[in-house]
This record gives sequence, structure tokens and C-alpha cells, in this order.
Amino acid sequence: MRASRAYWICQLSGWSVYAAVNLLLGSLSNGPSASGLGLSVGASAIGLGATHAFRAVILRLGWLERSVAALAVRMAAGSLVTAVAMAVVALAAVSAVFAAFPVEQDAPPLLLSFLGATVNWTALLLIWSGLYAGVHLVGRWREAERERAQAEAERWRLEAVARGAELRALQAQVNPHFLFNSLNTVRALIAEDPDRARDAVTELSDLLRYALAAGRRETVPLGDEIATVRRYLALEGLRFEHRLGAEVRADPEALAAPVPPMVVQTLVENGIKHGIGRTPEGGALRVEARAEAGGVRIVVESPGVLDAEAEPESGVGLANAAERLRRLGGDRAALVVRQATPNTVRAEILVPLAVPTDA
Amino acid sequence: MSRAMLRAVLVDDERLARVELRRLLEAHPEVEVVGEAADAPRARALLDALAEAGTPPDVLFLDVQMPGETGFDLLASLDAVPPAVVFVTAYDEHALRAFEVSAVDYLVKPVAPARLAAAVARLDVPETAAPDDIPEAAASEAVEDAVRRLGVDDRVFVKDGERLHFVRLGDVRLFESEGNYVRLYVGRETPLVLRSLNQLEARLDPAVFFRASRKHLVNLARVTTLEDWFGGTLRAVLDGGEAVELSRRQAQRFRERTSL
Repeated sequence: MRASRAYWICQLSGWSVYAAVNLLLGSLSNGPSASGLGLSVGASAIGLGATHAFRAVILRLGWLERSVAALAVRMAAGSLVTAVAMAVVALAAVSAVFAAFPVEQDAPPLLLSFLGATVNWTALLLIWSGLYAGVHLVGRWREAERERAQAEAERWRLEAVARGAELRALQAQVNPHFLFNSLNTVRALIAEDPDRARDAVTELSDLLRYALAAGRRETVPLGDEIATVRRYLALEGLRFEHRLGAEVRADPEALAAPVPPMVVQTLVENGIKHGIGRTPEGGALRVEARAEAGGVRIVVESPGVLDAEAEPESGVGLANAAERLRRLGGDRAALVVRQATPNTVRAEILVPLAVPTDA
Repeated sequence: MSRAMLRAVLVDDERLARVELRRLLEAHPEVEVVGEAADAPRARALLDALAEAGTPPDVLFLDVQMPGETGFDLLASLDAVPPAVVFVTAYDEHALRAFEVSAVDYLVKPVAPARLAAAVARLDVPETAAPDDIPEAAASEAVEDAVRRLGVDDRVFVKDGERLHFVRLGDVRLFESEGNYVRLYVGRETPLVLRSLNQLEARLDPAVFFRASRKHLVNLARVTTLEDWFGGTLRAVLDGGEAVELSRRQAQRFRERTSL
């Protein structure tokens, strides 16, 4: 409705200006005359009618939906056809007027008039087409831009939602392989060593509670994380027996440092899964937390060889751990996993002590 | 009439897991645990020793995730897998779903006694597995070495990329040497096994599997036509459409054997 009104305003004002210019030019060369007025108004009326019909054709054939090039070709061809039609109509009108009101002056040769009128109208219609298509193309471009911006915003929103869900799921996740193997161990221990079975149930419960709560907390004191690591190692020790040696050392000053929950735990789990769990003779895992100037350094060392092929699974855990560290400490927090000696893999975390407040 | 005893071998890297399974199996007197192993090399040694003693196990309870070689690796390394294999795993559904054929049972840890009972009930040992029931093939030709030759009903385990198969030897039309591997032609599949053709030939029953040439070992039961070929050689066409040329020497041997 509004587009239609804007259209009419443009059409009427445009053709009025055209009539006024024609009238002015005619008056300047031939002096003001009734016939000059008639010709100017008549020409504008024909122009208005013809372009309105042209517009109906454009809309009916859906030219505005086409590509810019296709639209341009069609508008140009349409302009030419319309101009010929207008020239015919205009000459017929002029001839009729001359026939009704004979004047002394000679009528100009018909063919010449026709060609002149066609060229004039074509030029005029091309200008009209340019304006008409231009207005529509600008509208179309703005609409596309708006849609693209909306799609982009939606994509970002979905990504944020997905990432949040992924984080929660990963944080709450306890490796099912570990969980069911532990339960199986407990089942075996119930007959063999009921006291250790009871302890194992408690340790497993504490571990699960901690892992479930991890999804709701940004950070925990390192002391809590270390306690969980000890529980985890105790449970894995029941499974691996003499194959798993473990040593956990932490500076008392380091225990209050805030760390993302399950971060050290992830490293220890990886160390067991890819190191000790892969060698029949087993090995020793070492966890150390040291207070240093400006931060806490946590080292997890396990026997093994960094294996590019094993990355997909552990890669997710490590990437997740690194991401949570970055959120906590920005660029100053770091997680590095490297081959420390030919058969030792060392994972190192650096947690800055002063947590930036801009997070 | 009492049911035949089933000899079982347990393979799991965790001692307590083996203890638990052994205890669960106590409820099934028809299953006798004749040995256990903590990893693939020890399991291989145990299976070899049992086979040499003439008492190969009827069923293998096998953990999938083990340090070093996995349960699948162990099976793939065996010349012939025990008649029944039951996988016991903590959480490896995805690994077991890789099986093309569902001719495999698996238990999840902790093992539910009822589920174990169902698995054991399904274990009625195939006829061929009984030690004194020597396959016709093995009996038909004198076997010098002590190792029992593998017959058509023995199965090999094939790990072909992500896909796992138990393959009955009688279903294999053709063994084709391919570098360090041997390609099996079985059904529409052509999986590779890490074995040399000589190694395989040494274990297979020569009455059924005939060395056609340096590159090929054919299952004679699957030969549809045999025709004279150039220069005194023979050409065998298998029921899968494969054509294999017998070298002159092997063609000669083949003629001697068949023309009584």
C-alpha cells in the first residue's frame, strides 16, 4: 500500500515536471501557446499511461525477481517496445488534432516524426526504467542484507547455546568405561575384600557427586580438585592393582587457587587411558601442584607416547579443558601437553592467581 | 545323559574382573574355566598350549579393551578362533556394532547373572568343536606335524578396517597373496588378513585348500570348472567367478593327486 502510494507520488510528480519542462522549452522557442500546453500535457499523459501499463507488465511477468542482468535486458527491451507503441499513439493523437484543427503550417513527414518520437520515448523510458528498477533493487538489497544479518545473529545464538550445552555435558560427564569398570571391580571386591568394597563405594559416590556439581560451577579450589584426583586414582588403583603407581603432591599454598572443575582430573584420566592403560606392565603417574610467583603450576606426568591417532576422543577433553582455563585466566592461563622424555608425556597447566574481573 | 563340559578361557586385563567372572561362572557347572590370561600375548600362549595338549577351549570370554593389543587384535592374530567367543566389555557397544554378522554374543560389566545364564545356554558347542570329532578333511590326509590342520568349519577372525567378521574357512573360495597380507574371497567381501600365504597353507587342510600357484590358494570344493590351459597348465574357475591359473608344477601335482 505504501509502496503503491510512493509509486504514484513519484509517477505524478515526475511526469508533471516533464510536462512543465516541455511547456517551458516550447514557450521559449515558439512563445506561449494553447497548442504547446496541449502537447506538453498530452505527452505527459501518454507517458504516465504507458509507463503504468509497462509497470503492470513488469509485475505480471515477475521481472523484479530476476537477476540484475536479466532485469536490465528485459527493461531495455520493454522500454523499446513501449516507446514504439507510445510513438504510434502520440503520432495518431497529433494527426487527429491536426485533422480537426487544420493549420497553415505543413505537417512534418510522418516517418521522420515517428522515428524522432521513438528515439525520444525510448530515451525517456530508459531513464524511467533505470529509476524504477533502481528503487526496487535497492529495496531488494536492503532486504537481503537484513536477512543475512538475522541469519548470522541466529547462527551465533545457536552456537552459543550448543557450546553451553556441550560444556555442561562434558563437565558432568564421567567416562562410562571408567564408571562401569569401577562398578565391576566393586562387585568383585564385595566377596574378596568387603572393607575395600565399602571404601570404593564411598569414593565412587564422592567422585560422581563432584563431577555432577562441576557443571554448575565455574571454578573450585584446587584442593577440591586434588582430592577428587586422589579418589579417582584410588579407584583406578583397585582396577589396575600393581600396574598403577601414583604420586600426588601439592603445595599447601596452592590449594586455594581457583581452577575449573575436572580440569586436572581430565589430564589424569587421559594419562591413565593413553599411558598406563595401554601398557601391560603399567607405570607411575605423577601429579604435582606448585605455587609460583603469580600463579599455580600443575604438572601431570604419565608414561606414554603422544599419539596423533588417539586425538579425536582425548582431544575433545583437552580442548574443553583449555577453553575453560582460557575463560578463567585469559591469555595468561595455559595448558600444554608435550612429550617430556621419549616415554613420558607431560601435561602442564598454569593458572594465574589473580582472576581477571572482566570475565 | 550328562551334557558335555564346556572348556572356557577368560581373558581380561583386570584381575578382579576375571575373579568376578569366574565366580559368576561357578553357577554353571557345565562350564569349566581351564585358564585365564591378562593380555593378548599371554592369551595366545595359553591357547597354543591348550591346542597342543589336544584340549582347545570351546569358548573364549574376552575383554575388548586391553593394554597393548585389544581383544579384536588377539582374535585377528589367531589361526583359528575358538568355536564360541563371548565379548565381555564395560562400554563398547559401538565397537561390537561393527560386527557384520550378529553371530557373536557379548556381556556388559558388571555382568548380570541372568544375562550370563542366557549366554551360556546359547553356547551348546557346535559339533565340530568336540576334540575327538575330527573333521573329514583332516582325517583324509596324513598330517605329519603335531598341529591340528584347520578344516572347513574352523573360523578365522577378520578385522577389515572398521569392520569385523568371523569367517568360516569353508566359505572362503580363494586366498590371494598380497604383499604381507592375504586377501580372502568370501561371499561378496574380500577382506585382508595380516598373514603370509605360506603360513596359512601350513595350517590349512591340504585336501581342501590347494596351492594353485605362488600367489593363490584355492578351495577345491568351490571350483566349478577346470580346464586345460596353455603350456600344460590348468585354469580353475571358482563359483564366485574368479579364474585362477595353476602353475605347471602345481597342475602336474594336481593331476597326480586326482588321477588316482
